[in-house]
This record gives sequence, C-alpha cells and structure tokens, in this order.
Amino acid sequence: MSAVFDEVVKIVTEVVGEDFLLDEQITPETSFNEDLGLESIEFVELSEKLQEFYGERVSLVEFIAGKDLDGMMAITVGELVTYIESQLASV
Amino acid sequence: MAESTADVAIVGMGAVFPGAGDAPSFWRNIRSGHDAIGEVSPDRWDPAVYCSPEAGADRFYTTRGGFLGDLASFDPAPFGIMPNAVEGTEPDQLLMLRSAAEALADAGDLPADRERVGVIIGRGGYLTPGVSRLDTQVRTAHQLTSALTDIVPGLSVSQVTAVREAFAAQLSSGSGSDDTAIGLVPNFAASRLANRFDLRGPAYTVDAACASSLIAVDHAVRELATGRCDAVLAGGVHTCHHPTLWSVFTRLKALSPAGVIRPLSAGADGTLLSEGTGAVLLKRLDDARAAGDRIYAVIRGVGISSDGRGASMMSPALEGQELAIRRAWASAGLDPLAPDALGLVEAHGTATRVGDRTELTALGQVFGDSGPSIGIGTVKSMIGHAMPAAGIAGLIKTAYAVHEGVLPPTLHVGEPNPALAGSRFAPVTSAREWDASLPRRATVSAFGFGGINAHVILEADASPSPSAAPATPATPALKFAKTAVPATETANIAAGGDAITPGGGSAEPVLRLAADSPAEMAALLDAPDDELLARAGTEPGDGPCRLAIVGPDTRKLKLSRKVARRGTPWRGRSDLWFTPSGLLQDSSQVAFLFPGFEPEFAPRIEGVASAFGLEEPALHRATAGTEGDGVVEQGLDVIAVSRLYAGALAGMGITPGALAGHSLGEWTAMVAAGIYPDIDDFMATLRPGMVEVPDVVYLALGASASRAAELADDLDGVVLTHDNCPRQSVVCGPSSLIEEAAERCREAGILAQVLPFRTGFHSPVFAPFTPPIRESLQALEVQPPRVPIWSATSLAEFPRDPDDMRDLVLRHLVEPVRFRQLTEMLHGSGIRAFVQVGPGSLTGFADDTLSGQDFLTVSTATPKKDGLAQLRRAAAALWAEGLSPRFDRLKAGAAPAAPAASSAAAPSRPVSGKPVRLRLGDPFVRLEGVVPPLAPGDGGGPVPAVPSSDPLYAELNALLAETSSAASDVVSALRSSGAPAPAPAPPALASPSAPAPAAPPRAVGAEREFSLRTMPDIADHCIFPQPDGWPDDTDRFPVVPATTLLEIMGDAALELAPGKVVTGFEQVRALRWLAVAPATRTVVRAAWAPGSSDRVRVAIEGYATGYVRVADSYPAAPAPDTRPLSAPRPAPVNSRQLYDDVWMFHGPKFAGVSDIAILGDDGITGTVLALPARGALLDSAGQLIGHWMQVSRTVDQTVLPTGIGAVRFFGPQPPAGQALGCTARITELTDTEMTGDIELTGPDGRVWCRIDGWTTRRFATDDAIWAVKFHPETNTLSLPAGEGWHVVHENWPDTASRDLMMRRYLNAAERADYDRLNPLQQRRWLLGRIAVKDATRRYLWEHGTGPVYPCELTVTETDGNFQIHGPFRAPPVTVTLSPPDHPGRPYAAAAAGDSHGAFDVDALQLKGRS
Repeated sequence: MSAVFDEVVKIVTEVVGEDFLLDEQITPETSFNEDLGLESIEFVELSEKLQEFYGERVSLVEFIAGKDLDGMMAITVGELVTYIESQLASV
Repeated sequence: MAESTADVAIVGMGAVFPGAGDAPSFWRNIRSGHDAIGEVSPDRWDPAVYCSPEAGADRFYTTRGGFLGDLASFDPAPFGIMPNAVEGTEPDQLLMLRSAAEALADAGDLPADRERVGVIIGRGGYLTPGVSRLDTQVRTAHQLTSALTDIVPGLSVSQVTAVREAFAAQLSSGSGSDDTAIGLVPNFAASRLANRFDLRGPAYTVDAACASSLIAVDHAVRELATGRCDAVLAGGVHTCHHPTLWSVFTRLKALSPAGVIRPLSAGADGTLLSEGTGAVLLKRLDDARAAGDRIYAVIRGVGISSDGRGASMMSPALEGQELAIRRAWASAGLDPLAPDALGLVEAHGTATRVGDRTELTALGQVFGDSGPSIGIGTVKSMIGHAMPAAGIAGLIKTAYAVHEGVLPPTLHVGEPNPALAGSRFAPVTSAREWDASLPRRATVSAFGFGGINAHVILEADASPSPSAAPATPATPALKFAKTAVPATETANIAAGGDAITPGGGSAEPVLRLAADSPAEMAALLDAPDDELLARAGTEPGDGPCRLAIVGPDTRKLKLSRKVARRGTPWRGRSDLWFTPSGLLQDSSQVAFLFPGFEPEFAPRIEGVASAFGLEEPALHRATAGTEGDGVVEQGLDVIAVSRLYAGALAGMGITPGALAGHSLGEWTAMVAAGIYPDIDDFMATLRPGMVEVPDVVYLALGASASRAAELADDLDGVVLTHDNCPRQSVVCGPSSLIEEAAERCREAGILAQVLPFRTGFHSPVFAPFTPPIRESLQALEVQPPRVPIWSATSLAEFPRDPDDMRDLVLRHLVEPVRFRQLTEMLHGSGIRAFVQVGPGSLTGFADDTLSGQDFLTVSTATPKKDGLAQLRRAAAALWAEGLSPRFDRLKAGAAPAAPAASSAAAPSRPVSGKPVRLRLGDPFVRLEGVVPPLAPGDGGGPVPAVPSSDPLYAELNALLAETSSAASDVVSALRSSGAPAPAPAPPALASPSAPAPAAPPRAVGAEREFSLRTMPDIADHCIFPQPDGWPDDTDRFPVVPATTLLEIMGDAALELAPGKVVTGFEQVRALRWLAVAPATRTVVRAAWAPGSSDRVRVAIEGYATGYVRVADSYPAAPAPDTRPLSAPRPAPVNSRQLYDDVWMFHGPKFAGVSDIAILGDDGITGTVLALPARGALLDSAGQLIGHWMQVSRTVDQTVLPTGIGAVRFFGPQPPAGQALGCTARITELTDTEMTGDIELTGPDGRVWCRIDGWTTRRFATDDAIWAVKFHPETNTLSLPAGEGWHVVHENWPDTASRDLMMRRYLNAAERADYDRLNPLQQRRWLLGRIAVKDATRRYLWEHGTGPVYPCELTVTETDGNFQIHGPFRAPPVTVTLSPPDHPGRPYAAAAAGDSHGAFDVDALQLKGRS
C-alpha cells in the first residue's frame, strides 16, 4: 500500500484509539461511519490531524463538501487516501 | 452390593427446560449454576391484564417463573409431520416427541423388537395452550357477543357479527379443522411417540400431579421387571402457564412474592411455576450391559406411597413421604442409616415454607443424623417448579451427577432452612467432585398434591463402563420413524432447540469474570471457549480486575485474551469491558447526563418499560423543525425517554451521585430529581405549537468555543449558545449571518452543520419569549432535588430556594450551555462514570473534553440497539468498573442456554433444520384498532337495528349532539385564547345509561400487531420466492407495502375525524421494512398537525410517518394530463409475463397490473385493477412505475419505494374489480433514486387519484444479481473463475443493497448468526456464505440435483471448515476470501467437490465496480 495509506491509518488509529487495531484491521474498504463508528467529534479530530500533517492542501471539509449526509457516511479510508494523493499530486 | 435383576439402566436422555434446548445444555446450565428464571411474556398471560399487587383469583402478584421462550420449537420434517399440522397440535406432544427423539438418539440403539417397547409419560390435566385456544374460540367468542348484546341493546346483528368475526380472526387459523382438533387429545403426549417411532408396547400418560414423572418411571421399571417390555421411554411434560394455573397458586399463596425461588433456604417464601419436558430411555441393566450401552445411572429402587387420611389434600404429610422413602430403600435392599448410604439428595424442594420443612423432616427421620455430610439441592432453584415434569428434571440432573461424579450446585440458599441444622444434609452451593468416601448413589423425590409421594434411588453403574458413548448420536431415531426421510436429514433428529429465529427477544448472555490481577484474569481466560461461554449468565467471582462481555462468542473471547494480556483498560468496543482495577468505589461516582434536542431523534425503548415494571411512555416521534413546529412534541419525547431510562437504571440499582443535562436535558434532570411534583399534570396540558420561538438558525462548528467566537467576532447578532467540548460549539443567529459564518468555516477548513431546529434557546434573542414561561413556572410547585443537580448555566449545584431555582431556569433559556466546563467540574468532583440517559451525543462530548484522563462513558437508547440491549451494556460497563448492577432485571424472557447460542461452543452439534416456534399461550384478544368503536347509531359503523324513531334513542342522540357541540366550543375557545386545551376523554363505548362526550380525541395511539395472522394478504407480498411448501415464512420476507401503510395511516386519521373522508397523503416516508414474519408490534399514533383541522400526522412508529388530509368530501377532479410520452413504443413485457416470469414478486392478491400498454423514455402507461387487498391498487400503480425502471435501465434497475410526496383522491376507492387507466411519468432519475408522478383515471375518463413524488430507491443490480432475482433456484451470484472455482464480488456498495443480498441468501438460522457479527465482519462472512452456497449449488446442478434455492442450504463453519446441511448430499467445499489489502471490491471464491485445482488469484479478473 502507499505511504499515504499508511499515514492515514496511523492518523485514524490516533483518533479511534489503538484499541481498534487489536480488534480489527483497517483496509481501504473500511468506512469511517459504519466500520469505524466515527462520531462527529472524532470526524473533527480527524480533520484537524490531517491538516496538521498535510497542511492546508488537504481539507476534509473540502473533500466532503460535495457530499450529502449519506455520501459522507459512506466514505472509506481508501477514498480519503485517493483524495489526499490527488491533492498532493496537484501541487 | 446386592444387585437385583430388576435393576434398570438409564441409557438415553432428552430434555427441553427453561434455558436449555437439550439434555447436555440442561446439565451444563445446572453445573454452572445458571438461573433460568425469567419474566412472563404477554403471549403467555399479559401482565398488563393479570398482574396486580391486589392479587386474587384473577390477579397475580408476581410475573416471574420458568419459561421456554424461543426454545419452544419443533422441527416437523424429520418426524414426517406436515409443517401446517404443527399449529393445531397440542404443543406438549411435539416437545415430548422432540425430547424422546433426543433420548433415543442419545441411547444410540433400541431393541429390534418394537412390540416390546413402551411409552409412559407423566402429564397433568391442566388447561394446556391448544385446549385453551379452542375454548376461547368456541366459547369465549359467544360469551363476548352475548354480553355485548345484553349491555348495548342498540347493536345490530351485523355489528355483533363483525365483533365475533374480528375476535375469531385474532385467534389461530389452524384450530378449526377436524384433523387438528384431534391433535388436542391429552394422552397423545404418549401415543404420538408410539405412533412416530412405531412402538407397540403400552403407551399412556399418568397423572399424579407433581409426582407424575417419577410415577411414570415406576411404571416403566415394573414393565421391565415383569419382562413385558425390553425398553421403555419414560418422562414427563408440562407446558401450561395458563392464568388458571397461576390463579390456583396465587390463591394458595404458594408463589414467591419476592419472585425468587429459594428452596432449602431460611428465606424461602414460595415457589415459581415453570415448564418443560424430559424423557429417559430405560432398559434392564443386564440387557444394557450386554448391548454395551452407555449407562448414565442405574435405578436401584423406587418407592411410592399415598398420604391416606392426611391433614389436607393440599398440604404435604410427613408420614406419607417417609413411607415412600423407606419403601424405596427397602426395595433396593439398602440401609438408609448406613454412613455410606448415599452422597446426594435431589429434593422435591418447592420452596414453600411448609413443603420444605416437611420434606427435610422426613429425610431426617429416615437417614438419621450421623455420618458424613450428604449434599442436598434441587433443580427447582434454577428452573422453578415444572409440575408433572418436575420429577424428570430432577431425575435427569441426578443421573448426570452420579455419571460424572459431580455434586451440582443449588441456588439461592443463603441462610439454610433451620430444619437442616443437625441433619446429615448440607446444601451444595457450588459444583464440586463427589465425596470419594461415599458411593455415587443419590435419590430423587417428587411429591404431588393429593398426597402422592415418589422416591427413586439412582447409582452409578459399577460395571466396567463401555464409556464409549455413541460418538455421533445421529442415526437411531429415524429407524423408528414410520415415514421415510432422506438420510441426510437424520442429523436433524437430535437437534436441540438452540437459537432459532432472530428477533425472538431472548436476552443476550453476559459473561463476567473477576480476578485479582490482569495476569490472573489472563489465566482464567486460558480455559477452553465452551467452558468460558458456559459461564455466561452465572455469578462471577470477586476481585478488582474485571471483564465483562455482552453476547460472548469465540471472537470476543479471543479479543479478551489479548486485552487481558495487555493489562490496560478497554471500555466498550466489541461489547467488551476490561479494567485492571475498577474506577468506581460506589455509584455516587456516577453522573447521569440527560440529552436535549438532537438533530436525529430516533429513540429505542422497546422492552424497557415491561422489564422494569414502568409505564411505557406514549411518544409523539416528531422532530423539531422550523418555526417551532414539533418543538413541544420532541421536547416531551426527549423528557419521557430519559425518564424511562432513569427509572430503568434505578431498577438496576444504579443511584447516581449527580445529575446534569444538556440544554433541554437540564429540565429532564430537574424532573428526574423530583423538583416538580406536579410535572406530569403540567406536561399533559402542553400541546403542539404552544411554545413560540424566534426565527434564528443554529450552526454547529467542529471547533472550540473560542475559535467560534473568533470567527463570528464581527458578525453582530451571531452568539455562542453551546460550548459542548473542545471540538464542538454551537452559534446561533439570523439565517443570513449564519450563512456567512458557515462560509467562513468552509474557508477555514472547519466542519460546520446547520441544525434542523430553530428554537433560539440559550441566546438573548429568546428573552422576549420568556414571560409566558415564567408564568407557568411560577404556578409549578418546586421541591429540593433528591439527587444533586449540576447546572451548565451556573456551573454550580442547583440552588435549593424555590425562587432561585425558577430564576436559574429562566437564565438557562437565554444563556449559553457550558457543557465542557460542566464536564470538567463533574470529573473534578470525583465523578468517574458518565451515563447518558436517553439518545444523544453527550458521551462524545465528555470523551473529547476529558480525553487522556481516566473515566467511563456509557450510553443508553442509541438507535443501533434495542433498549434492553443498551441497558445490558451499561450494566456490563458499570459492573466492570466496580459496581453491582442487577443483571437479573435485564431479562426480557427466559434466558436461553448461553453456550448453545454460539455455534462455536458446540461444533459437533447437528444443525437444526427448520424448527417452527410453538405457540405456548392463548394470547389475550384485543380488538382495539381492529373493530371500530361501537355505538348504537354510530355514523361510522354499521347501521343499528334500533329505529331512530325510538324515543329513548332520539333523546340520546340529541344529548350527544349537544355535548359534542358544547365540547368543541370549549376547545376552540381555549385554543384561541392560547390556553391549553383540556385533556380529551378517551373514546368510550357509548351506551344509553352512560352517554360519553362525543368530542373526538386530538390524538390517538394504539399498539398493533403486524403479522400474517392479522394481515394474511401480505403472504402475497413476499420479496423473496422460496420453494413450494417452504415452512419458514420469515425466509420469504413478507413486508407490508408502503401503499398498505397509507391505508393504515388513513384509518388512524379517521379516528380523529369521524365522518370525514381521506382526501390524500403528504410527506410520507417509509423508514424501514415492516416485516410481518416474524410478527412486528408497533404503535400507530395519530395527532392533528399543529393548528390544523384537515391535516393529521400519523406515525407507524419506527416504520413510516406522514400526513393524512381529511375533509367532508372529495375535491373536484382536475383535467387528465394528456401530454404524450416521449418516444412511445409497445411495452416489451405483457402483464401476464410480469408476474409469471417474476418481474414482479407479487402474488395474486397484489398482482393488479392487468395491461402494460406503452413504454416511453419518460414514462409508462397501462391498466391496473382495483383488488380487495388493502393497498393493492396503489401498489399496482407503483409496480408499473417500477417496471419502467426494469425495462429502461440495465444497471441498478431494482427499485423499491421509500417515500411519497403527495397523494390526492378525487373520489372514493373504486369497487373491487374496476379497471383504472394508469400513467406514470418519470420526473427524476439519479444514480440512487427514481422519482415519478402517477395518474389514475376511472372508466369515465375522470381522474380518481394523483400521486406526486413517488420516490424509489435504486438497489445495486448487475447481470448476476438480475438473473438471481428472476430465478434464484437456478442462478448464482458467483461466476466461474477457472479450475473449478467460482467467485463472487461484493458488487453491492451500500448497506441497504447488502441487506437484500443477505436476505436472499441466508435462512433464519443463518441470519441469526449474521446478526451477531459487527458490520465489518458481516461483509466478509456474507461473501463467504454466498460463495459456499453458490459453489455447492452449481456442484449439485452438475450432479443432477434440480433447482436449489440458497435458503435450502444451511452453512456452518468450524475452524475455517464449512459444513453444508440440507436435503442433499453436499460436497466438501473449499473457500478463499480476498486478503484485507486487496484493491477493489472484496471477493470470495469457493470450489466444491474434490476435483478442482488450486485457486489462481492472478487469473482472477476483477469484476468489481470500483
């Protein structure tokens, strides 16, 4: 897997707690809402940590801006990785 | 030791008792001390009707007892019994058959000569379920109508007939035929065994009250001793929780008022009623040894006596019991006074004071008081008193005990009965090995009403045991079944009653373990899985290091081992809690947090009120929206749900040290603390629309309060209203400014969301709206709180002075909620556990605020789990941290045998086929909502027979009209003055002697059962076809069509608006499937929309909501829409093909499309027939528009309705048989939805109905899914992938589509397994099952088997090996799942048979859509 995937897994683990890894494995198909059970506050934390690491280029807010609630709920780790990779490539 | 030739061996055993579906589970439960006592469920007798502290002949003071619950199931196929014969058969016969089959299978073999095999079963003459239902049907129905006619003289014949028919319709359909009536003959409990197993010795039942089972054993021993029989099935059966039996025991005051059966205890205060069945196969000892049978125990002696002229027929007599015991020991040639006479006594032990005292005295007199200590106990302490079956329960327990050399525990002794002092007997409080100095000899007693006493002596077999118990108890019983059954079904014969249908409401087990340290815990967890699983539901040991698992299974145990080895706290993920040393010393360190308004409010409360004896709140289920719409309704719901859960937590023994609330929740905290004694009266006066609010918008920011203030600094009018936690705050202001704030958030990369409600609470803009509230508050009496409340406004404890309290409530309305600071304060004050009471997101706020510190958050009422499941998790969490919540209160019914629930625990157990749940009750018939309320001359009902010229009647009518108009004047006057309307009187059965006020209510609500019994038409609306005769209706997934829900909504609305007509529906939303098998019960609630007189909001709670338009008459019809469709062409499929070729799944009652005329790019036209089934006409119109999708798109062309914008009727429902023209026009088509409008015109060309915004969801559909939809029995989702492999990709990206695939492929037993997994596991698990089933089906097809539906195969897995069960010779199957890092969609591949090659992952063409 890509370096971005590894980094995202690391950040996601910080947000949901390393407990999660004892129980489940995070894959590109892992969805934030259904699989990780991410709540809104944790989404905020994820957003902060992504910006902290990648800077202004990566904005979760922008990423989800075009999505309705169902769309947001269905986002997977893989989709986020793809978005980040495209943002990094475009600079 | 003298052995007489009359010694008899127990060589096989079978049982179904509360908590255990077979004999091994029963013994496992006994050994582990499992308490199987539960609460009565309303299908047995309804506590709402019968339970009352004012107990008497028809009211009982306890609801507790032993109940079979979901274990009462029977798989008819292996016995050659037609599934439809099950319904009309007395259930105890079938349970007896099941237990007998288990005993035969367990024994492994029978003497070949069936002429010499007998059946003797103990059974009482009670009002058993089948007989009771017949009585209700043939007698009570007439009694009801006769009483109705007597007291309401104005009723017409047709009205009365309607009531009787409605009453009869609520009863079983099966009990009517002559055939099934025969199934109720009482001695069939024995005869049916002889019939099914072809046994020709004597077969009969005996009744000796509670001694029946042991008397049956006595008969059996004699049959063997005389040589008339070579083998006898002996046993007992009792399945009667009829109120008449409870009445007898209530009047005898024999039931435990405490609801705990404590035999042998000084604190025993009565017995608890139970049920069950058990069977043993008996042979002469010599024969059994010669045959090499496994011998559980030898019956050495039996003694029987009667009390003669004892003191009372109903009380036990010392002399009579003593005589029976002495006779048994004499017949065995043994001396009861010998020091080594015996090691264990299984007492009758009913736990009534006089019963226990008499029994212990009799034992003392026979066995004396010197010698080694003898263990004593009774299985009644675990399952209650199973009456005629009690003796066989004790016998099976004792046979296992001598066989395994274990003294099993007895429960709830505490301080022993004083009669035990100085005796040789000591209660066994925990399982231990047999005292090596004593023989493995034990006794079983059973004493019956009327003075019949029985005593049996059992002993372990002394001969060299062939110990070789039949390894797989699979073959035998079938040899005796008359009807030929395919050999592969043999395994089913011994199937226990473990986990059958999901949703049965049986409680999940909770495994709790305590130890002194994590290392010790890790050691405890080294035990084998099945041992650990067997401990679920038992009392844990003691120690600070605690582990709790809700719904334990192999996976969670594996996780728990990792967690314990790691040694740091684990709080809640995967329903597991672990702590090296608890956070809590006592519950004063617990705070209850009450949530306020939530954007998504979908509380789950099912089961909570009944489990805790609380009143079920009537919820409005409205959500607060704009302009104050729904604010009052949702507010009342928020408070009601939180109060319910606070009551439940109190019932579990959790008394918090602090209460706090978020926003509105602060009021709930005040109410829960008892500040307002009159609060219920006050809330009853609140009406929708009564609270006026300003028009401002809230914006929730994913940022701190200070960051929010920074952003909005220069936006005058935007104020901070909530500081929830470091990562969430809320601001409010006029919508234009909030838009600006949201834009700034977007630019700054801050997540922000506009909230759906607009109350203006907690901001200064609300100030002008407070005076009326101040007035209300002044009028409300206040008292000091019972528990300290902490305010998020003042950040201090609530004041105790009434005026200060009222001031604070008003400040709270206009000042920000400072929840973050409040959380920190609570933690600072020593609070370590934060329990969110009601649905909300407060645990998330606390988690964020306290991040990095030591604390526990736990939630109740999240929408993901039902109420009791939530509370069970809260209890597990709080127990792990050191508290002692009452787990016993969390049982909805009889708890199942914990270990049997997990297939991993008992891998060798054969899988059950298609067990049918037996109905063990005669449910109370309720006609509410089924028959319209009756009144003579009721305009809505049938015309009464009394002529309106009757002077009395005319007077009554005039009186009613006057009352009605006066009442409506009062109501409208009150409404216009802004004062609350008085609570409406409930609709009453009007009668001349008591005229009821005629003002219709403002709101109504009633629970309804949605089942195939109440809605038989839905059998023609099943989404998944199954083979003909398939016995499990749940596998067909019969669901109520959205259009039928409309009819139900319309009915509810007309209750509020009698005499009006339904002219349409608006904003209808179908929330989830309303399935009728298994039955669904939910509340249908109707209330006038705020301020409206023609719009009623109706909720079918949890399933659908919408508004119903009512009026005096129908509006004029508009001109028909004659616009042509674009690119019109003849429809490719005709209406016959539509159903014959399964384009539509609908059966005849819903198959109303009679012609499909023209297909266009933007719509379709055709003809639909008005069919009598409710909702069928509009459903047919929906089918037509759905068919447009089917033939117009090639992907995701499966659509099912989710909502309707508006329906308008321009005339009454057309008569059945009338044909209507139907034009459907597609208005919007996206990737996920299709929306259209429909117009229906009558034969005269006039528009009858218009539907706008018919909205359907598109479900994932590709070529394979499409083919399987048409012919699941000959198509697979998996495709060949070379070398004999078949691969299925997860081509259904969304949960809803996955749910359909799941239901298409899994049968009821498999769905139960699926439901136990978390979503991530479910996806892989399902893929694997699909691949296995597809590979197997393709193999079967290649080997000549005809069509096979996915549900016909049951797949189980043990350690990665899949087993396939079904009426076929299944091949071995190999499975490969895609690795977790596989790019693209996950897949599963399977190969069946032995001749496939290796799976070549590189050759796999990724067919996923990603």
